[in-house]
Amino acid sequence: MRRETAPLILSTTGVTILYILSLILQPPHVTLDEIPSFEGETVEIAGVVTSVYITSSGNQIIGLRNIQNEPPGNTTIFSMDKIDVNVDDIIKAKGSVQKYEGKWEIVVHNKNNVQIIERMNKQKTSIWVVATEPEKYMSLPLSLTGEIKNLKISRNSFTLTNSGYSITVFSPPQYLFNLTTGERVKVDGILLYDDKTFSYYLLGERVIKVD
Amino acid sequence: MLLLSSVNVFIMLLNWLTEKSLLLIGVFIVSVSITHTFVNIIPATFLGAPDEDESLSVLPAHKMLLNGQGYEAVVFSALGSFGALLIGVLLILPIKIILSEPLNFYKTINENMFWVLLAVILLMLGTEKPKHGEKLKNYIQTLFAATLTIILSGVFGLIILDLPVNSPLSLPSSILFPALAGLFGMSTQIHSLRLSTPIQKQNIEDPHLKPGERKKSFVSILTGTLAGSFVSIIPGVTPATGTIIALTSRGETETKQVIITLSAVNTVNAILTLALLFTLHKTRSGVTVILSNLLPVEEWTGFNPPLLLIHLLIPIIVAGSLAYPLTCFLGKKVAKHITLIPYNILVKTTIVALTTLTFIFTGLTGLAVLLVATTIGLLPLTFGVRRSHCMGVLILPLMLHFLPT
Repeated sequence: MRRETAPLILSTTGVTILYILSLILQPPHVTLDEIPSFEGETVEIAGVVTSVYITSSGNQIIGLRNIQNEPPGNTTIFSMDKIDVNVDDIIKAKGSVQKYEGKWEIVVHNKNNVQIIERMNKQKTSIWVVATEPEKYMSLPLSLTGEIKNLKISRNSFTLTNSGYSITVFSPPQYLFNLTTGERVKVDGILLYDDKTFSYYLLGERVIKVD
Repeated sequence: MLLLSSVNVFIMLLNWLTEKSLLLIGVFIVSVSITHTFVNIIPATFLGAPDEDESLSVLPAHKMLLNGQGYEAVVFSALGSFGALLIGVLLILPIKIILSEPLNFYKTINENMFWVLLAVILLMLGTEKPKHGEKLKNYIQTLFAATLTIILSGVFGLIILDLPVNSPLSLPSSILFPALAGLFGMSTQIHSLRLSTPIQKQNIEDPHLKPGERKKSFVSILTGTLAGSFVSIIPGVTPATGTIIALTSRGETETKQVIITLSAVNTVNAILTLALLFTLHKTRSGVTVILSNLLPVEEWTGFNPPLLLIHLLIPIIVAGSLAYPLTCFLGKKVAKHITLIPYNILVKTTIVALTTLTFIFTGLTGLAVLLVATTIGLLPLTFGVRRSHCMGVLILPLMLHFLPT
């Protein structure tokens, strides 16, 4: 046997065994309040999404709170990949526990490590339908599609128009930088009422360009 | 009323002390980290050297040790680190201007990270030279061995990143510890044990740079510093890769200059990762992760650096200035007595210590990872290619993440 062959066979066999081991070994499921005791370890958690935020460098931060029957707790998930989750979705995530800027977070290395257990269905509707009976949709998660008008980045807002109807949308700032007036977008958010201006508005959680 | 005021003053004093003590801990951590970039040449030189005739892959410091010039290697390394310390501190503002406001070049780098990492890999592969004569067949064999090492360590990295590891003593665990210890530490020790050679008496006379060498050394420090800046910005790229870039850019192969360059890359990398914490809010090292948890790190927006960064840079300069003579002093002591130390026992003790620490921090799964990582780490040593190819363990998963869609 040549000198090079032994480490080559050993390493290839070793990597294969580790792969099988990775399929068998599953991380412990922990509740959100238990996370601090698992620093550096890989764990599995489940929770309700409270916020979804994309950083300027393209990483995703997902806020999570405990599921009702579990002890109170919250954490954030850090993912370098973008994961399609919405506020109020119930998700399961596998990642390593670390402390960042004094707060506990789960670092997810692969988007496949986040599974949606239950998706919060956003009611897809049209602006004109909401305009006819706004009180019926009050505080409910909605998904509205329309054209951007009156984009005001400094106020984090724009007007969404469709078929002659329009509504003001307040959006998370990270989405606004990629938008221009006249573009068609889908906005996921919650319908709220501003009693100072006597008007309804959509508190956007996510703005996605559509063709 | 008096009691209330006293309690108030006591609380204020306590807050002030807590704030200051956290800063002092931060100062201690950065001082240790910068000193480490100086003194780590001592174990790197005096531990793990294989027989040069038998081994295909001998590190520059080991080559000098085997020629009786271990102390000289330590002195030149300390010189490289000290030079990089002085230039590195001056580079912080220009790097901030380039990466963050107003030029925002980091955004462009980040958007093209896949291509940057691919270029790094191609450069690493392209600069490999066959050890058995420069025939085409040897080139192809070397290239194949290097590619195989990168791919195998990359696949290994993809598998282990989500492998759950637990410390039997409930200590904080990290899967990267057994992986990197196996790829770079354990494999080197086992290789040197397999091909062990008696260490000859070391020359402990203070080395002097000849006039021609002074200019060369200055260029080594300068190019090393610039390459170190690159290393601190790009994730998954090691100081060894930075050294290859610096040396390739000027066609330098002399052992002393390689050591000076590598040390310069190492030290400037430690300084600039700290600056990146304030500039881009990126934690690129264990030290910056701890600092970000310990201290209120504010983003560096204007031209004037944040006060906290200045508070951390002062001890870096002081510690580095003290570490320079300390490294030379300790290097001389070790070089003087290295022949008295039973070398094999020292290497075996290191192997036992690494294995024990791996078990304590990461348990049985960690030991399995250490074992596989060691066999992968032995590949470049037996094939005679660079060990830095093992950084595929981080580079390949990062490339997949940055893969353009």
